[in-house]
Amino acid sequence: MIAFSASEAIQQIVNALSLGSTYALLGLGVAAIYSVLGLINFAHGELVTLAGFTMYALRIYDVPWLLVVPVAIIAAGIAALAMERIAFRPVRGAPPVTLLLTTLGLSIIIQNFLLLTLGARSKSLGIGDWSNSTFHVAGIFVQWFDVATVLTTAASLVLLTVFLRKSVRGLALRAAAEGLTMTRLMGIRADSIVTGAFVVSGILAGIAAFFYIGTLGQVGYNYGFSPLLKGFIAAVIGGLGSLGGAVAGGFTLAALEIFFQVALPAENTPFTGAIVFAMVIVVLLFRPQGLFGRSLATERV
Amino acid sequence: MSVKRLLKRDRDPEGVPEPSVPGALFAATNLSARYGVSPVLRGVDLHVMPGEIVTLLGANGAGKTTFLYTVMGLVQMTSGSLVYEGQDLSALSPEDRVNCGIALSPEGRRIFAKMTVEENLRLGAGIKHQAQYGENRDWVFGLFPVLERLQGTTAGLLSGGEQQQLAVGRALMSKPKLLLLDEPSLGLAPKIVATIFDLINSLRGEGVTILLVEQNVRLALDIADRGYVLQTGQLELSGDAQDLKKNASVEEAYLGLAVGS
Amino acid sequence: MNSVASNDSPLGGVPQSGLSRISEFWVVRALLGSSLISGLLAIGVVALQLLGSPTLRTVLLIFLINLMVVLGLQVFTGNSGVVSFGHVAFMGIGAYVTALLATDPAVKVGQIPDAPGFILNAHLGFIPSTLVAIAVTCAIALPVGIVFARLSGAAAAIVTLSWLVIVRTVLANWDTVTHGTFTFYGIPAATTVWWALGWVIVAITVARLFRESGLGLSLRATSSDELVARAVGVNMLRARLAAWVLSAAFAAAGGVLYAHFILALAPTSFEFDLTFLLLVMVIVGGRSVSGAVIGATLISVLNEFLRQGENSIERFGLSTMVLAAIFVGTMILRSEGLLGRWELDELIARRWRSARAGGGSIEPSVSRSGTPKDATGDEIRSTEPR
Repeated sequence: MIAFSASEAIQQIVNALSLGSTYALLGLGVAAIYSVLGLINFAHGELVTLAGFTMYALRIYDVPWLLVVPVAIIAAGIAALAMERIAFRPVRGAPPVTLLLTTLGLSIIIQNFLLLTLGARSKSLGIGDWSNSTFHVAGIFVQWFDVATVLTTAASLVLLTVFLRKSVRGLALRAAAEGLTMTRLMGIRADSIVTGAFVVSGILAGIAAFFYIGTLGQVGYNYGFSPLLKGFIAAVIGGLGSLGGAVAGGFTLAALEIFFQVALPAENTPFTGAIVFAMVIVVLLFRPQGLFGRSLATERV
Repeated sequence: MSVKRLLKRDRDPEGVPEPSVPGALFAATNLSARYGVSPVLRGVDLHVMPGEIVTLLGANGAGKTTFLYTVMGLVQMTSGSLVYEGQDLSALSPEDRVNCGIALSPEGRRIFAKMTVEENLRLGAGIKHQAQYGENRDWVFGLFPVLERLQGTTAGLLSGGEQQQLAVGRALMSKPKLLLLDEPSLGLAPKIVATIFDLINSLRGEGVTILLVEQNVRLALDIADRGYVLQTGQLELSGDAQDLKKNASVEEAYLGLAVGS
Repeated sequence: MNSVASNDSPLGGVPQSGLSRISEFWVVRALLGSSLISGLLAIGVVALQLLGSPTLRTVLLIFLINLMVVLGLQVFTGNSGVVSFGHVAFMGIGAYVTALLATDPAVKVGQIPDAPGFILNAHLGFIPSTLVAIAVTCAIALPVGIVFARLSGAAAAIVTLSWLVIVRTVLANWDTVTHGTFTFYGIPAATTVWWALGWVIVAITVARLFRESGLGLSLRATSSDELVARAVGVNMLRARLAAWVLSAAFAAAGGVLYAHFILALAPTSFEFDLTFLLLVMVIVGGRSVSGAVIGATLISVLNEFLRQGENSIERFGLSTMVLAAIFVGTMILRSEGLLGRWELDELIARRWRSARAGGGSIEPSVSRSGTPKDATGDEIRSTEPR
């Protein structure tokens, strides 16, 4: 193990918080749909890229960021709605394998559509100088962007929690996670619950997109794969079906990634991904309920 | 009125539906339903008049719960008709049927265990009745004071009897005209069951019509006006509760109650 | 599950006289059935090989190589119903092992000088190298299979996807042995259309035999209704493991053919794009062996046309998008695939039988699924009916 100075450690903790926030948002997006429908939306990453491309398109016309971000988030929500209508509704009631493959096919369609229309080269998307600016505290430099990530995620979580606890539709989402049929017997349409889950998922993806794409500085047609994996891993570690777990999973994943990045000798860092995957497999096998959630073995059959 | 024995051979072999019952709040006529490939209900005729408590009896596997699910639209009916307030239910989705004023307290209670009592009740009001939520909730609290005391508690932590009250209370939150109760006595101690049945009886005065599915024959016939007996998906007996009770010894054997149910 | 109507059993493919025990008749049936599809395939291949242009012959060879891996996918996913994204990983392992063993040491030394001696000095012939490649892949597949045989659905999909990524990462970073992200060149040419065709025919036969065997039947039973099958005593884990290892062998064979055809390897060849293409072939064709072959044929042909169209109008992404659209369309309209889990010979036999019976349909009207559903298609997650 490499020896740490205190400030280095704090620096890494800050990194982990920021990265974890993004992963938490991605994990929530995946978990939102899984908890209600028992379905992994393979096209979730495409929601992120679509939001990213929306931001890129708006920035070409010099639309101010203050407007760009909400529009991109709304765009992601609408895209999620469209996904539900076009790809999910026709196969409702089909066995899980079919649903899974349908979302996979949808993901590929969207990716190639983007490739076809926008080309293979990534578009650069600079957030702007303010994102790089840092301030000095406790012996380390903290980026404003990281602070924004953490604060926005916290705010999103608060809003989401209020929605889930106070509004009927939010309650319906939670109830649907326990039993969709029983929720329908409350007179609440299954359709509206499913649509709600997708929209929530889309909005979360849109918010995550700003920070994820913003960190990368560019967006490309195939940039969706990675957010999907991160989101999925975060949701699995935290326990599929548990929203709180997904958040915890996101931070855990970030902590693991940063740990390995720092602890492994330089030439082995590419193996970080492989190691994390191996851990996911272990979790799936021995503790399928993750930290908080319900077991994958009880998913809809 | 005496008990009618509705043996299969007495019925028209063609299965021509009997005319709908005038004045009934709800009527199932010649209802048949299927669970996947296997038929589970065959030609069931049942009706409920407004303000009544009607009970549907039968042994395990007789089809009682399936009947309720068919009424709610969760199980496909293959023939016959379901009429509620003069309206044909067959085209309506389960959610629409609930919004028409039918509510179900399901077998095994099926409350939302991770949510509080209050949240369960709030869901019971659905989207449609949110405006009357406070008023309906106070009404339910009046009927089930225990729920008011426990309103902040997570539902999964309640006792069996408390959960049963929550299930019924939740169903009442939409101020239904027709309340379907599926085996409220299931898994509860006799003293608790007695409390539950007292509460059910008191609902009568609140303008709620009740269709009660039960295995506990005695208790059900004590509070019901009329009853039906279901055997392997078909109606075998129907009549006034008092008359059915007089056939108690026959019923015990008939329903196989002696055989470990 | 969307079983095709059958008043036999959920296993499909069991003949009307299936009340009798499946004895040695299944071998005969399997051999006859596989001969049918192999024969059709062989005719097509011979015709194209003799009459086609050099370009066409190359496409044909690639088709056969893909078909080899597709058959592997069929053996596992087709029978068990569990989606696997990981078979291309086995293809890659097979390819690299044969590449490392069969290439001239003089050529190897220039690329991977730090590799262990037994690799540097190895200079095996085509057949021995193939056998070792398949053996090594199976040896790796076995523990992996043990690890995840229990999982289904989304869990299995993600795990197999992880496996693909892990293998890809190892291949790309184990510089001393695989030459990392750089191309490993100098593999001796050995793949011909006739080798490929021969291996594919063997694979078809073995796949068909497996499908009809006890293990295959067990597996297909769990795919229809896992709970029932396990209650009846089907040893799902054993059946799945057998299928997994067998399918890895096929995939490895495909990788060997690929390596000795393309003569230079890079980890980028074994990624998700190929995985998806092969998956589409199996799913669209129908999960049986002949379904996989027919699906592979149709999709390969379609893919070729689309690629040419793509190139001519210089709009890349079109071919994959169309394939994915077909894939989604299949899921929505006929998720069982073209042949609907039946083998070609089984379909012919059924048509013949029903024609003899006077043209009436022998299929009872079975609902789409055995599980209770309500009017809008939602499954009832309730207790048993009372």
